[in-house]
Amino acid sequence: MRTGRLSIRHTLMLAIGALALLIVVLIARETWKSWQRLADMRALEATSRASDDLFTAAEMLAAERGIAFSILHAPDEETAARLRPGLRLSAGRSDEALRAALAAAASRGRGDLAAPIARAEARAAVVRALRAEIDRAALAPRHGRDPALAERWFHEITALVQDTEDVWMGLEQRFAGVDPVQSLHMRFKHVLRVVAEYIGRERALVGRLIVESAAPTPEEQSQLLRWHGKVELGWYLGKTLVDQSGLGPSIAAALEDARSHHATLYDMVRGVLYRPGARPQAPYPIGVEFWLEIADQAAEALYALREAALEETRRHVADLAAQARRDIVADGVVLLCALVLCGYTFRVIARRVLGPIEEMVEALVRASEGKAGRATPASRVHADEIEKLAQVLHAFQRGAEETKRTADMLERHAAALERSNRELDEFAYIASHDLKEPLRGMHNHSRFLLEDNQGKLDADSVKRLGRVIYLSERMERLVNDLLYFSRLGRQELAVQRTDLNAVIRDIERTLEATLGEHHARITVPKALPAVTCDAPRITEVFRNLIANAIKYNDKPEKVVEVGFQAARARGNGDPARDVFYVKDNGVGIPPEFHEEVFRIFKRLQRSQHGKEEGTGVGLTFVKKIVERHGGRIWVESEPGHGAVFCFTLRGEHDDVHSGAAA
Amino acid sequence: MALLSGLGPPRRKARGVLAVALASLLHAGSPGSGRAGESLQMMEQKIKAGLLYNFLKYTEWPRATAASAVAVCVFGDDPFRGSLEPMAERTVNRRPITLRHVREVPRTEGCHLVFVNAAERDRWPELAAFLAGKSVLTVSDFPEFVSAGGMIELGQKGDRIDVKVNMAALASAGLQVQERLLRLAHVVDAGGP
Repeated sequence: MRTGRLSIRHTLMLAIGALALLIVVLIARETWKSWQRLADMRALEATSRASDDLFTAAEMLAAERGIAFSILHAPDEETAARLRPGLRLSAGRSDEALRAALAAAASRGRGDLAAPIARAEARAAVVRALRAEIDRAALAPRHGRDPALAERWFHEITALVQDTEDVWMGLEQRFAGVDPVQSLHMRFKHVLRVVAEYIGRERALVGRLIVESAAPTPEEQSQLLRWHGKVELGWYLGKTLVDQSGLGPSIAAALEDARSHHATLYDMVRGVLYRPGARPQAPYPIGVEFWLEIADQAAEALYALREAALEETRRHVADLAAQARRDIVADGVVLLCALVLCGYTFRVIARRVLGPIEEMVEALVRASEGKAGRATPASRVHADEIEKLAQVLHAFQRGAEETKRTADMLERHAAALERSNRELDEFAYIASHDLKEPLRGMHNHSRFLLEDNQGKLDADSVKRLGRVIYLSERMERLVNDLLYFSRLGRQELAVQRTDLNAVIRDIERTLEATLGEHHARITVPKALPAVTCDAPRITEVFRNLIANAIKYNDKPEKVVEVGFQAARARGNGDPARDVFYVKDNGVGIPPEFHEEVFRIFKRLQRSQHGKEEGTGVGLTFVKKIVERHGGRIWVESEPGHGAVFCFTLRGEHDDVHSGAAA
Repeated sequence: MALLSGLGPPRRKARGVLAVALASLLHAGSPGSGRAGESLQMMEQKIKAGLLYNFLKYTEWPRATAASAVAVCVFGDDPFRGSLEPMAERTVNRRPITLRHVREVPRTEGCHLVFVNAAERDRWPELAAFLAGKSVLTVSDFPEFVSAGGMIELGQKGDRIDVKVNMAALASAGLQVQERLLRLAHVVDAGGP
């Protein structure tokens, strides 16, 4: 692993980790929302209960108001005394309900409810003080009562009902946006409270009229009509809310019952009490207790309706809470599944993909460094892609080992060959060097013999001695060639940047006489590149090839072309790069001799001048020099169509354009 | 001051509806507006008619007679002069009320409550015999109705309505009345029909 860059393994691990984190965050956010909703629902449930307590308190106060109102207008002490226990009971109930409701509201509300609660409590204290006065007045004869007390009482207790309403409104507002259905329930309950309040007022005034056996004044009649109008409107709104908003069938049925009972109650008294001009002189056919009782019975229908609404609210809130709980559980399950899946994916990628790949890579690296080790991971149970990859790698590794063994063997053979060649070179050097001395002696002695015995020897002996001298001279040339050849194999190349165009020009100058004599010319169609080489040796290569091109040429006009090709297809079809060539229009070479021409002391034919020149080592030297430069040489030719000698330097794929192509 | 100024939300809607409601209310009162109110006697009849609703509400019929609707039957001429009619549009204990005017005894079959017109006092024994063993609440305003085996008598005590309940007759018919109803009445032990 290069420093500063993550491996695939770490990148994948990080990506999976980030993905897992992302999933956890997303689901956790949903869960948190559900949790908040559940908390809202719980608060809503508690608030709804507090609001119902306020409702109860308002009803209790309304009932107490009616009874006390009747007592204060009772015509005799007897009637008042009969009503007193009911009033005490009612007062106790309303006190208790109000205390509970305000406590519940205070616990549910925040600072904003403190003021209305304090107001209601202050008013409750006023009402309690009035109760004591009413109690005293109930015992007194009618003429002994304070006539303003009833009005004060009615005013104060109605104001207290209003205060509870304000507290209720404050509570409701806080939850208006939590749930639309719940808001609807709250609105419906508000309507019910209004209906209950005006029914309570009607009941109190009718009770007073009954207890006094009095006809209503026109003002009282219009008041009764106004209140009744609000009740009717309340029923209408309530029914509209139920019908249009689907508050639930139980509420619809209870609403119809309550409305029926109150309509029936109203039918009983409206003819006499709600119509202008009715002035009954005689007492009413029912007493005030009877009236309060039937009014209470009708109020029961209202309680039942309120209970149905409360039940519906509780059910709805419970449903919402249950839904929120289900959401939390579902989110939890999804979260858990996602985490398990992430963990599993993590494990699979780490153990079944990255681990084996890392093992394989490490083994391959070890193998490439020549250390022992198998790329195949330990025995695996999964027949998956990684297993197949391991098998393939295993097969490759076996092949690579085979190749390496072969390469090792080849290397050993090449080294042996090199050693053998070197020994041969050394042998040739030693042999030729050692041969030179006796040869020189043979030559000298033959000459001395010929010179010393001039005139004494017959012609045949002179001829034979001349032959010995010639042969020993020839032998010396051969030995010199061998020496030179062995030196070519042993001496280091003196490489330097060389301009081949200069080399060719130099050769042209050297061979100037020969060229002129043989009507030959050298052409270089394109400038040759500069190369790094041993200049004298490469000069020798070109000179040899050019000399051969002139020598083995039967054309009257001999043309030798020297050139360079970046790419050239060899005669056998293989491509070769950076090829130098020397082309002639000479006699050509039959294909079967294309290899032979490079063998030492091998001459295929006499030159075109009939003279036997040289020892047949030129091309052998050329080949040796090219090979010492890491190149190869070959000939492309057909008899009668000239020959092209091609060679490369420093191997086919090395760049010979290291200098600018002039 | 939402309570005193009107009926809470929706307020805009409320104003229009209030007008409709008041108009309907005035319309309902218009038949009587021509004359100077009603007599107290009429009020008494209306209270009696209204009490029938309370009786229906607080009486429990055996399951076998439970029908989808509660049938109120007036035996003989209608003593309420039509003031019972609105009952037919109302519900009690979540069941609709139906109203029937019956002149023949057998036609009381299927009634839950039979109000016997005082004028039909002579036919009461025949009716009582027919209703014997049936779970039918019998109500009447002729004197001594409970003594004659009736269940609820809307009598007179001084100037005021006096409700008498015959528990034995109720029990023999398999009917139960709730304590709440008895607060309006006084219980007499007159035996079954």
